[in-house]
Amino acid sequence: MTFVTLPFFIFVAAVTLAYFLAPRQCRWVVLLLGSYYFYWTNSAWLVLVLLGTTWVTFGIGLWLQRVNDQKQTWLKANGELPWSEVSKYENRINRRARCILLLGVAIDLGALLFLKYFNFFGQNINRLLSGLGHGSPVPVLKLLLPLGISFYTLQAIAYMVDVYRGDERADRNPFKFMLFMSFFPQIVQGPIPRHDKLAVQLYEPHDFDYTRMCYGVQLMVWGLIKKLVIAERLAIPTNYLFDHFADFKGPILLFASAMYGLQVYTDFSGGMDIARGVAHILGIELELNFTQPYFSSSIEEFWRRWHITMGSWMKDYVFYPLSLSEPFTNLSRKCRKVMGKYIGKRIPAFLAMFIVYFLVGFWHGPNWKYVAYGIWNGVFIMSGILLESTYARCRKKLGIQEKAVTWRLFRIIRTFILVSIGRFFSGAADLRTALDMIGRMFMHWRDITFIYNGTLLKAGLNTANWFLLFVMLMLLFFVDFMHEKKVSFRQVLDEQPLVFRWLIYIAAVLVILIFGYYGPQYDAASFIYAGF
Amino acid sequence: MDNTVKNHKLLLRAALFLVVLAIAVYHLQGIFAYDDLYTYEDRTVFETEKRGRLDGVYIGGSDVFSYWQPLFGWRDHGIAIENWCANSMRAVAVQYFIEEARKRQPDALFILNLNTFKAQKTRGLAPENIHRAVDYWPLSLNAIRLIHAMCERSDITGLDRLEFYLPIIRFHSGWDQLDAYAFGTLDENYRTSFHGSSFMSGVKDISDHYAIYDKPKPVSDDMRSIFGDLLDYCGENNLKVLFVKVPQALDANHQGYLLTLQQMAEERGYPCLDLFDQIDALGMDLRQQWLNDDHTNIHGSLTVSKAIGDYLVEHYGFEDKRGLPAWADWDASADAYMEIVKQYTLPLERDHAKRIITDIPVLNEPEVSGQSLRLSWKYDDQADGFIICRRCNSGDDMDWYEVGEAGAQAREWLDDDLARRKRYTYTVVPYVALEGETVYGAFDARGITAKTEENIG
Repeated sequence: MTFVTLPFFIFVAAVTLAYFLAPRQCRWVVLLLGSYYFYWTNSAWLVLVLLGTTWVTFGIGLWLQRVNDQKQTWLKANGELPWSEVSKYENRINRRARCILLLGVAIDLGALLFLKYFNFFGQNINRLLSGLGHGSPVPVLKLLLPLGISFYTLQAIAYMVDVYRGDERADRNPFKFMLFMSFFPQIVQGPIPRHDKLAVQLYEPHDFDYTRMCYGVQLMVWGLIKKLVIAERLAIPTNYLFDHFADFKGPILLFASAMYGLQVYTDFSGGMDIARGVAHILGIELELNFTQPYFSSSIEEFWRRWHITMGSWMKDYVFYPLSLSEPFTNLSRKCRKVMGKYIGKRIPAFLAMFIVYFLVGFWHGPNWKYVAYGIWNGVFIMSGILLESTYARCRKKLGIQEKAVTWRLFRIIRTFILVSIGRFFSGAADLRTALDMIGRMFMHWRDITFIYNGTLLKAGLNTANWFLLFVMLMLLFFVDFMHEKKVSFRQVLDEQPLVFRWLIYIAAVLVILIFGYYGPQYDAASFIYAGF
Repeated sequence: MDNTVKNHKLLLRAALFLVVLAIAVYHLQGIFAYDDLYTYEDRTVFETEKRGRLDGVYIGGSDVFSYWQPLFGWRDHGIAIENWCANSMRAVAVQYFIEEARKRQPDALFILNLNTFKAQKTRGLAPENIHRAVDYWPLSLNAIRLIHAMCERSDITGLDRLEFYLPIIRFHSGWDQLDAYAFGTLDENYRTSFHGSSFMSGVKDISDHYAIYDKPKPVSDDMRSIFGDLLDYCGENNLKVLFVKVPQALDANHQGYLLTLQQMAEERGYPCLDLFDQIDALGMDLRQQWLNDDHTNIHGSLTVSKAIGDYLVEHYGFEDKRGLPAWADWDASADAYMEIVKQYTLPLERDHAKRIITDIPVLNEPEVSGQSLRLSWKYDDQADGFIICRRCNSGDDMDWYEVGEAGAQAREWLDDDLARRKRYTYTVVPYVALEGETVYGAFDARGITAKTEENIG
């Protein structure tokens, strides 16, 4: 039951009806039952893995809370003791808490690593050992991946760390916690929620609100347009060009990669819109995961606008803990002595950032191409930080006004190109193919005849479909541009006369019905990120 | 309370919006349910016919499109009988078609094509069979029942059946193939009379395998049940029903099934017009008047339409309505249709009983020289002369035109001043002059084609 099937919409309607008809104190139960039903229909017995992670996380959370409470109680009672005594106690109890946390992270992360990455590690080990003449001892296992494991594992880790840090009190109700971990709109592909933001919304009953329902449905319709009309349509020429890349050289490959990037964006953000729309109807606000990323003027800005909750998770649970840790602080001190203040101060941050983007890439999939994808982005971010002052000097020398529209446009286009080149790594079959494609892109780099010599018409779309794609991408650009200018499209629409609004809504539904890729004539739509 | 009242009002508005949306989708999907042109025309014309005035409705599969042309019936006898058909119609659908037709033509004679029941396969229906039967129907309980009945006899389950209730789900993928025709107004002139190019000029010689078998064969229980239910339905509703069995090149089994069903119908008092063994009596030519084993071409249709029309006038006493002011639209339609088909029917428009020429001129390969073409043929039968007809194979112009005449002894004819590098197709029609009237013989409907050269020098 994916987001773009009729059974899903019937399911949403049923859950919504049940939710608002249920007694207020039982509404969260409706969500819990609905979420587990949704999970069951998608992953069957793999729901046990979700349950396992949920219960481990819940238990670890309670344990950590007990340790925290013990610490607070002791500190209150023994506040007058000497600092050395207090410090000794704190170190001991913190060490215990750290062990509990590490245990929880190891179990949760272990499940993810085993199910998603075992074969990847195994194959690499086998390759290494067979190269050394020791055969291939690691077996290849047929492992099924539970739906959303990459997302809910990060969610669980975030919860445990927040309780460990004392930022969050542990949930005491195991069933409510089960709902937090399995809430169906966001378990498929995020956003990755934080307990303090999502849990209270889930557990509190919400009353029916017509305006909220309208907004939610509007979001869902927009998500369906992005997913079924744009993303699925982009997939056709993209798949063709990527599968037949050896037949092409020059900018057409960059074009393919750019289209792939747009496909991922519309697919992923479309799914997000559907998820947020469903949650909105139920009175729950999920976090934004995209804020017009293709308007970014640097790769660093791009990653602040793309998959936002993943970026903030990495920042809060990887980057800061690493860069502020003792080993990194010591490293910073040593580097400053050796390489000077400017670089020395930045080395630990760069190292932490490298690790972050290595993990971002690795999280995308068990393949070296994803690692390369993460590193590609990380390198540009790091170089941007390192060369910031150099760039500033160059701009000054060239008389470039940073706020100038043309300069910003240039940066946006440059970022788009760099991001698109990075997409070779995530879109190609493997790392070697990605490098091959990048190499071929630079051959005949001036040859843009593919735009008008009919090559694109061999890629699976006829003229009418290319034209429709162009129109829909322009519409997407227009809506994103409005949002970039902080103008809410929905609010503007709300201010229009009823007849005009209805015409827009009817047109939107007809666009999906007529131009959407669904039904018996097409392959079933599936999310790119739902495989995570 | 205010909030609740407000929410209720807004919910009502939302419900109204959904109704408006449903209406918009319902009407729009008519454009997208564009797959079978003739079925589409047929349904639309039938629905636009004035309620309650038709003499009859002819129900069946695509064979009805070819065997019965309503405007031939009008032209010959002034009777108004339209088709209400579906390509590859399956037996189970017939009753629902009658039910639907009765809504608009409650007192009509229902002519049922018995050949529709020849296929014994009543289960495992393909999606195409269902779409051809159910598409373009106006929304009704009967339509929903038909879809359900056909889906139950297919392997299509669950939500996959939705494409039949909402054709836009299936046909939306063809949006980029919509052309002006899909949006253009339907020309109602032809009253479901067929005018496709294959019908006009297709020909298949079925003389080598057309045979009559007179041994009934047992039909399947399911078919017996379907047919029995149909007869019960007709009886319960006191419908005027006539079964017609049109001549097709069928094997012994299929003919046997039809005989069994024919017996069932006759035992229940329903008349059956059997044209299977009437080929000679009707003067039909098995070599020239079929476009495949199951369908006549226009030449065959002229004959069969006349035969059916004669039977109907004799047995049902329909009024001749030609020239009546209330039926001026049918007169106009018939004139328009005859204008279209005249190039194909001209030589055979005469009284078929008077036809005495049986041989067909055998056309030789034309000799081309520049922009001239010499046509020659072999002919051993008697003829008083030959009409030379030509067709230019370009664009939509597939009509035969008379371009010349040759004497009784002539066996060749020169056509010059043709266009360069163009294909032309010729045929030769023998004729005999009888008591001041010219009777035309059979001719090779496929013709022979040659291409002129570039004129050098």
